[in-house]
Formats: sequence, C-alpha cells, structure tokens
Amino acid sequence: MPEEMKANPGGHIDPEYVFGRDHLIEMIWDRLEQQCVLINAERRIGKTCVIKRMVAHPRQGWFPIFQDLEKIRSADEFARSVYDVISHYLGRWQLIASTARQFYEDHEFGDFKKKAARPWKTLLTKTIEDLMAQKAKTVQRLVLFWDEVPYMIDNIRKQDGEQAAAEVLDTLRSLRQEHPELRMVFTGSIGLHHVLASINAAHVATAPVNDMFSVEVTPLAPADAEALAKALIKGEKLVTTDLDRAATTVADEADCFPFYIHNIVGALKRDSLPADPDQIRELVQRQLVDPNDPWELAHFRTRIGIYYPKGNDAKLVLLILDTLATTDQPLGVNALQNAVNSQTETLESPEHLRDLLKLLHRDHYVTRTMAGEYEFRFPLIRRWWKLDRGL
Amino acid sequence: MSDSDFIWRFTPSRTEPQLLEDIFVQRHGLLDDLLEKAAESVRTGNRHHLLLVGPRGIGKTHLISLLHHRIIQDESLAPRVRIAWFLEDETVTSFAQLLKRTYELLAEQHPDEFPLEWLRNLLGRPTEQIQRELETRLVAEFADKTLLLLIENLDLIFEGLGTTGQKQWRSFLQEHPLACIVASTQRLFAPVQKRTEPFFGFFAPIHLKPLRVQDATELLERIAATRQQQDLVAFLNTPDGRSRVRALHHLAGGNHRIYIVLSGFITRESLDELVQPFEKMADELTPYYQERMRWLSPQQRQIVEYLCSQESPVMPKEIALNLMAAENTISSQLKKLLEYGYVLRNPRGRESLYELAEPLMRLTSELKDKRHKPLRLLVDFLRVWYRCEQLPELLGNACSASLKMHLSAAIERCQSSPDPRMELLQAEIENAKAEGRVQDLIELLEERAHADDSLQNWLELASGLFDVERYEEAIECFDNALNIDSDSECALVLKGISLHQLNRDQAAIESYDRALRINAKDAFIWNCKAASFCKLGCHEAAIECNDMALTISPQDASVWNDKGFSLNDLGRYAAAIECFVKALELEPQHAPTWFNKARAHYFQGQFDAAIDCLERSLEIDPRYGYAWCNKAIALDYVGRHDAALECYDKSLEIDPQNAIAWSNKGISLISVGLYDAAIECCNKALEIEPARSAAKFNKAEALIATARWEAGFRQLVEAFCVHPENADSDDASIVHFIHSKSDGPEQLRQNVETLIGIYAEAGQLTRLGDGLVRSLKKINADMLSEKALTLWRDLWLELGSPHIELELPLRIFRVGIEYLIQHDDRVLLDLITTERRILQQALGLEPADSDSMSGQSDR
Repeated sequence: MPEEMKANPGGHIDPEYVFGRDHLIEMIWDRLEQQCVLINAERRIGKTCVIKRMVAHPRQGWFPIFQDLEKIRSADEFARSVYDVISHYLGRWQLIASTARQFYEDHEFGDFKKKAARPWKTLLTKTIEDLMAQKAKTVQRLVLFWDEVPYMIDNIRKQDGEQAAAEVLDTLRSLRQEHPELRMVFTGSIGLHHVLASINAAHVATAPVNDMFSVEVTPLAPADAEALAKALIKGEKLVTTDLDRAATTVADEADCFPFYIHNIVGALKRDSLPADPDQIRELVQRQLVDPNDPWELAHFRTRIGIYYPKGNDAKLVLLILDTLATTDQPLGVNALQNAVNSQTETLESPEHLRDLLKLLHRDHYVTRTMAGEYEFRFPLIRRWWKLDRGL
Repeated sequence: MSDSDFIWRFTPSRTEPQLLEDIFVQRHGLLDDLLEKAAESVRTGNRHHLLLVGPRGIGKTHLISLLHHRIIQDESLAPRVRIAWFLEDETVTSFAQLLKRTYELLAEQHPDEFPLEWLRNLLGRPTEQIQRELETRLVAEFADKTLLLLIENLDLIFEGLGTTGQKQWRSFLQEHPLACIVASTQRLFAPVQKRTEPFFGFFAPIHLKPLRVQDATELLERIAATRQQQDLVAFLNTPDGRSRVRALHHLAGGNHRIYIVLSGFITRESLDELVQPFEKMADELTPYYQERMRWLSPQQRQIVEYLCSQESPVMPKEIALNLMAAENTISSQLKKLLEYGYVLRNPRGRESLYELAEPLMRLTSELKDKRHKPLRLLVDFLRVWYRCEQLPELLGNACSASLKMHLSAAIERCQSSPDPRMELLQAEIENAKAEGRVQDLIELLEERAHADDSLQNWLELASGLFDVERYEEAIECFDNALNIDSDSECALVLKGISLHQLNRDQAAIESYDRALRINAKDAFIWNCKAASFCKLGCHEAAIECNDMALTISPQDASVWNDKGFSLNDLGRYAAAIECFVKALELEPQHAPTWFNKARAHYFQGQFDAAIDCLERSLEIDPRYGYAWCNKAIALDYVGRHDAALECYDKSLEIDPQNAIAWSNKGISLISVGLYDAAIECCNKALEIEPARSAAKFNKAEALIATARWEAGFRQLVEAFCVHPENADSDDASIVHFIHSKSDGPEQLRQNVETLIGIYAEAGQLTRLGDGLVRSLKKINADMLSEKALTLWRDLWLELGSPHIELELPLRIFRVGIEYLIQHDDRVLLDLITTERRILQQALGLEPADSDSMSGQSDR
C-alpha cells in the first residue's frame, strides 16, 4: 500500500491505492469459482473501488470486463452495450463474435425505425452464446462486472414498463442457467429488492437473482481504516504530534467508512486544522449538525417515505429507529414491539415488525447481533440520527 | 497602464496570468492544494474531482485561471496533461455535445493531436455513432495522459445535460477514469448533492470564503504595486488607509470583484474626485446587482429587497411579518440566501439576525425608487470615508445641491447614530479576537487607541502587546494609560510585569511600589515585587515581600511556592520544603510545586525523596517534560540507569527538542556502556544546541571509551573551546578510559601525552589533576598486575611532572597507586593530613579510618 496519498472524497481511486479490501476480494473470487455474485452497498461505501481493483488485478485465469449501467435506459440499449463490449474483448482475443455480429449487422441500428421491432433479447442471448462458444478456445474465463444494475433496471422499468424490466432480469437468469460457466457480478447502490418490489407490485412475477451469492461491502477493518487515515494525513501533510492517535481518531469517527475518512482529512486540510484528536472530533460533530448536511445523511431519513410506502410503515420505521438510536443495548423483537407500542397503536403484529426489520436490515439501517437482537448498523448513522431527530 | 496590465473585472480569464498571480491573495494554500491534487491525478491513477463553490465575484475564475497557468508552466506536468477549459458561457445539451465540445477545446490547444478535420468528418452521422467515436477517440488519446477538465458554472452544464446526459457522463467516467475535474458553481445543486443522483458525492466541494479586511488590504496593496503606486502601498498601512479599506469592505462585503472595482477610490481625497466617480460606479454596477436579483426566486428577492431597506440586521420573525409569510418559510429561504452569499447571519443568543452581505445590493432598490432623496448608500459611504468632524467643513465648501444634500444627510445621521467608522473598527476587532488573529488585533487596537484616546483602549492595546511579548511597546502604552490616569493600578502592575519580563526589575519594583502606594493590600502586587527581587538575586527581600503577601492572603498556595523557590536559591532547603509542604496542603494538585519540592530534596542529596516528588508531579501532569528529565537525572544519581533511560525517553517524546535531556541521556548510556547510542544522543543535543558544552564533553568521553582516539581528542578540544571556564566534563572517566582502553604502553604514553597537552592548552590542568585523583576509584586493582599499575603511575609522573598544576595531584596519585598495589593503610602516611583526606575521599575509604590516620599524621 502507498505510504501517502491526497484526500480524494468522491474522486476515482487508483486500484493500487485501495486500502483493506484484499480479503473481501479473495472471498469474491473464491465465490465466483462457484456462482455469480450480487454486491449491494450504499453509495460511496467503496463497492466500485472493490470491483475496480478486481478488474485491475484479476485472479489468474480470469478476464474481467467492467461496465457501468446507470446510463442504460432500455433493454435494447443494454443488449447493444453488452454486444459492444463483448465483441471488443473477443476482438482482443483475435476471435470473432460471429453469430451475434451477423445478427447485429443484419439489424444495424441506423436502419431501425421502430424500437419495438428491435430484438434485444436475441442480440443479448446470441452475444452470450458467442462468448461461451469462444470460451472453449481460450484459457481465460470471462467475468462481467456490471455496476449499478438496480438503477438500470429501474430506468428500463420507467421507460419500457415492468414487463420489460422483469424480462431483462429473467433473460440474464436463464442465460446463467443455460451457461453454468457464465459469471456476472451485479453491483448496486439501491437495493435491488426495491426495484423488484416495484415490478412485483405491477403483478409481474420474477425472482431473478436468487441464484446469485449476495455479498455486502462493509466499512474497512479498523486497522485498514487507520492505515488509510495515516496515508491521507501524511499525503495532505497535516500537522500532527501523534500520527497514530490522529489516524485512530479519524478512523473511529468515520466509522471506518473510507469515504468519510477521505472527507474528514480533506476538511482538516481545507480548514488548515492540525490532525489532533480533539479537532477531528469537533470537526465531525460540526459536519453532523451542519444545517447544509454536507454528508447528505438526511437521505437516511428522507428516503424512508419512498422505501416504505405501505400504510403507516414509514411512521413505524421512524419509531423503530428512534428507539434503537436512544437505547445503548441491542433490542430483541419483543422489546422493540413494546417500545413502539407505547408510542403508537398501528403496529399490527410481531410479524409486521419482523417484516419491517428484515427490510431495514436489507437497507443497511440495522444489523443483528449474535443473540438475534437488533441495533443500528453503523454507529455514525446512529449518532447522526440522534442529533438530527433531537433525541 | 498597458493593455496587458488591465484587470478584467467580469472575465478574469482574459487577464494576463502573471497579473493574476501578482494580485492573488488569501488562497495560496488552496491553490497549492488544487495543484497537488491535479498533479496526483496526472502522476497516479487517482483522479480528483473538485468543485469550487461561491457566489459571483468571489474569485472562482481567478483561481481556475491560475491553476491553468501553473499547470501549463510546470514542465513535469504539462507534457502529461491536456486541458479542456469550459468558460462561463459554454452551453451543451447532451453528453455527445459535451464530448464534442471537449474535443474542440482540446483541438484549440493541441491541433496536431486533436485535428478538427477528424471531428468534421464525423458530423452528419447519427448522434449515437458520433458519441461512440468520440468516446473511443478520447479513451485512446488519454491512455497515457490525463484530461484536466476545467468547467465554470458546472450547474449550467448539468442542467443542459439533463438526467440522461448526466448518467451517460458518469458511466463514461466510471468506465474510463481519464479525467481530473476542477469545476465551479455559484451554489451546490441537486445533481451533485442528492444521494439518489448519479453524481452524488462525486465532487469534493470547496466553499470559497469572502475576503477579510486584511486580505482585502493585501489585494489593494498588490493592485497598487502592479500599478507602481508605492505611495498607495504605504498609505494602506496607515490607520487612515486601514480605515478606508474597512469602508470599502463595508460596501464590497468581501467580494473580490467589487474590491477590484472600488480599488480606484482609495486615494481620492476631495469630494469632487470621490462623489462623481462613486455615482458613476453605482450606475455601472446597478445592472450587475439587478442581474443577481433576477437570479433569485420571487420570495428570495423580496427578502433581499426588505433587507435593502433596513438600517440594521433583522430577525426572520420581523421579515416574515412584513412580507406576510410564515416564519419557517422565511427561515428556510434565508438559509438558502446565506448559502448563496446574499446575506450574513449574526447570532445573538439563541436568535439569528440577518443583513445584506453586500451593502451595494441596495443599488437595486435605491436608484430605482429614491431619485429625489439622498442616496443612502452614498450617505453611508461619506460617513465611513470621512470622520464625522470633517463633514461640516466639507459641507461649507460644497457647491452642488446634490452634494450638499448628501453631506447634510450624513451630518444628520452622525448626530443620531453611532460613528460607523468606530463600529466597523470594533466589529473588526471582535472578528480578529474570534479568529485569533493576534497581529491584526494589535494593529486594530492601536488604531482604536489613536482614534479614541481612552484609558481602557490603551490598556487593552498594552495587554495585547504584552500577550505577544512586545514588552517595550506595551510599556509605552501603559505610560499613555498612566498619562490619562496616573493612579491606574492595573497599568502600574502590568507595566511592572512588562519591565520584569525585560529584566528591568529595578524599574519594575518602582512601578509596583507606586501601585502599592495606591493599594498596599493587594497580595498579587507584593508577589510580583517578590518575583522581581528574586530575579535580581535579592532573595531575602523577595521573601519579605512574599511574607507581606502571605499576611494579606495566607491561603495563597502560589505565594508559598514562590517563597519556597527563593529559600531554595538561598540554600535553605529545609525551610523551602516547609513552604512547599504548605503550598501543597492548599493546592495538592499543583505539579510545579511538587517539582520545586523535588529540587529542594535533590540539592540536599535526597534523591529518593526527589524522585517521589517528581512522580507526584507526573501523576498530575504526565506531559511535564522537565519533571521526566529531572526524574531521570535523579535516577541516574542512584544508579538506576535503565529507569533513567525510560524517563529520558518520555521527556524527549514530549519535547524532542530538549537538548539537556539528549545530553543527559548520553551520560546515562555511557554509564551502561552503550557508547554508540550515547554518541547519537550527544549528536542530537548538539544539533539542537550546537554550543552545548556538556554534550560535547559527553561525546568526547564516549568516543574515547570506544578507543576512537583521534575523534575523541578532537571533540575534547572543541568542547574546551566552547566553554573552557565552565567545562562540564567527567575528567575522571576520561582518564579511566584512556587507562583501560589504550592498547599497549606506546599508545598509552601517546594518549596521556595528548590528554595533558589538551588540558594544558585549555588552561584546565587543575581539572585534569582532580580527575586523575578521582580516577583512582575506578581502577580495578584486583584485575591489574603490579607491573601495569606501576607503568600507569610512572607514565603520569614522567609526563605530568613538568606541569606545576599537576604537582599536588601527582603526589596523591602516586601514593594512591601504591595503596592499590600494597593494600596497606600505612602507605597513606606519605601524605600530609589534608592530602591524605583527599585521597581517602577519592578511594572511598571509611571516615573513621581517615580520622585515626589524621591523628597519626599529626604525629
């Protein structure tokens, strides 16, 4: 790892400068030997850094291709984009994507006038078939890293309807089933379950990713977070009397989120502050109570209405989170139910509570202890929640 | 002024880069940081995306222009980077257009690499194909280079791109991280701010702060310097000059652009030179402010218009009442206006009051509505530009009706409201205090004291000077205060303390005596007087003053401590310890008192008690560096070198620049035989304090101990050169190491000869003689043959006898060696009583023996 680097919140991180992800990466490569992988994490937790590092340093025998799919608005665009990238890489191997190319050239987009006539599914299927057909001739296995899949599916849903969105996911699933050697890694910063919920709400049945192994990108391990903080403090040439203590404080205050570690060190530099533990703590406190919400943490509150639109769910979720924010100990379902019921009468049953907790877990609000009790997933968010809600 | 010297006010990107460098202020650190981040983006795979945020005129383009200039001037960066600079008015409506425009901007600078012909050939094809071709081309071109995108008004580019274009751009940058982006915007906008948007968190926002008065002064000085107006540079540093800068600041509100516009006013003295150009400037700037108003939503505009009509900051409640709106709506709009830089917030208790960030914003309403009335902006300007007492004379000389109207209004306002110059000055003083700008604060206090010659103002200035250790000037100010009130106890005491700091304690005592004549019951003054006596070495007098203070305030632990300190210096350690005990009864958690008590024990040779006290002081203050160092020294004395070394390390961890600790650690290391480490420590001490003689002697000793004779002797010579009279050498150890480490009789002879030569040259043979005698104790006679001891003795007798200073030591040394050979007390009788006592001490023999021998000797 580099000894020093400049704080770079939001920028592109050189794969050589990605701290503390090697263990996770090894685990994902191990899993890819067996099946496809679904990576889900909030924006800015560092999932793209993970996959960029995997792409930069693939395990021997693998050939990774990275695509960001957030821009894709239709199934057709998706198929064409996959075709473009795969034919490019097949070209690199000095092979031809024969079937798909034939198909594509027969249907050059400039000649198409009606989008509905565009057979995206055939193009996608044939592209993958070409790929798998050529695979036997190569020594390397290809893995497709597709970033922001939920956004793409949501875009397709909005533009072409639920049916088209479900069809894309189902097609990809059937391709995985038909070609057991095919490997895909989906990543997304909004939970795919929310997009699927919208599709299912339109009475379109689909369960398109339950064959994929789900991986969560967590914050860094404390030692890695400290190493990153140390490299940034050195890179920014911050004044400090005790580099180790400063790095520990930054890592601790940022809850080991690399994005916030970059942010804290960047802010210290911007304000010409020394990397002194008290200054670091004060700065983070200022960020958390800043009315301009520079870390956009209010999103964790404002999205609740959108994520949990049914009945009084949003109100209940607020009560659950308020309860967990003000309790020092993790709480079991019964204790949570009592706490919520003491403030409202809308909680129908423990099952309702369990369902909500399951969703909150998937949306990274809460986590479960070994004893099965619930607590805030990230202490930093809990700390902000208390301040924001005036608890 | 030549064309190239013209400062473009509204399009700084057209200004000559060198001129922009010359007038650049306030943001040097930020520019360096931007440059470093751009450089890292070029040299590594990291790509920074930075967003400069600030209202119009705050200096965003200036900063971007300089970044551009510096990068293209940097020979190590320029070949590896290509810059596409989107100026303020660029419009794009799709991602394909963004790529096309990027290519065109690159082509302007590097036509060979980015031929426009290639682009022309693409046009006419389907947009998707053009986009793909441009993507592929840029990715290929930047395979081994970095694209630096400088984008002004990024919000407008985002608006043009729309959601689809933004997603395409973001995906492109994710898949091909070829660009470092430095962009600017007037405010943060949803596509970069909201977590659901593709560019959320993509840019690191950098909020540009407005100019402060001191930055503005520097800006004006730099502008004056570029125009070779040396008189103006000098004027800006006078109180009047500073006052005028504040007047401009009042109008410009920290906006760079407005400062540059107003910079021409600063030296205009006569009203004719001032008023007409002011009106002209107001007329010219009105469209600018009107445009800024148009940019706001109707409700935000109403709020700003309301603030334009107000004389002083107002609360949101009042604004809501007058605009017939809900208070929370107004508060949220004010928050936005604050963020956009239109208003300032002044906290008052739990409330906030708001005012215009730029008073010139009033132009938008004043010129529109009040043509028949005095222009309030001009009235205010006259009041801050001239002192109130100057205005009637100016009115008497005024010719035009308009001028008379404005001056009359200014005079009227002077009578009905406080002097705005003093208010601005006071506000700036408060700012300087809050921001800890000590130097600026002093200048401001100085200005205030000269403008308003009051006791309080002089005292505050003097205290400010005292705080930054400018004692001479502080004393002058205390004298000015005393000229106003000769009985100011505060001025007399603080003047005394200032004199004390300058080692003029006799004068300090006189000042304290004056204060005591006014108030003899103030224990603090007595204690100050005691401190001055103490510094003069008059400890008895100091103790008398301490006693006076204790009569008044017997429970004052600090006085007991001070008294103990004086007693310590008088060598009355037991009495000193009593004082420290009292002080500690009153204030047991005072680490320095424990430290002083330790000193008293230490000087009495009570090392264990000293160590206990130092441990107490360190329990209270674990970062008390001197206590760690002294504890180490005490531990060395009791032979606990390992523990001592740990304490030295603690002391050096707290203060790595403590030369005493490094030097003493060297001694400790010599004691445990770690000579190389000792040399390193001595080197450290000498790096910090090159003339530290003890460190030089210790180093010489360690070098000699490791038989590095030449270096050791050279170091010894050097050590004597620094401080021959007060040499801090362990001569006995040096003699001992020469004896024990020399290889063979020849080297031994040579070394003894050299050593005697060095001490003789330094005039320190008496020290050497003393060391020679004390070295006897270090000889392990059981391990040495009689022959070796005889050789050692004879060598000294032969080489030392020509030096008269060594006559007595050699006599004692000879008998000492005899004693070590024979182990027979009778040998000692060769010496007379006094000489025999010296030898007995040197050999560490029992005093009883000494007494009995003394008797024998007499016979």
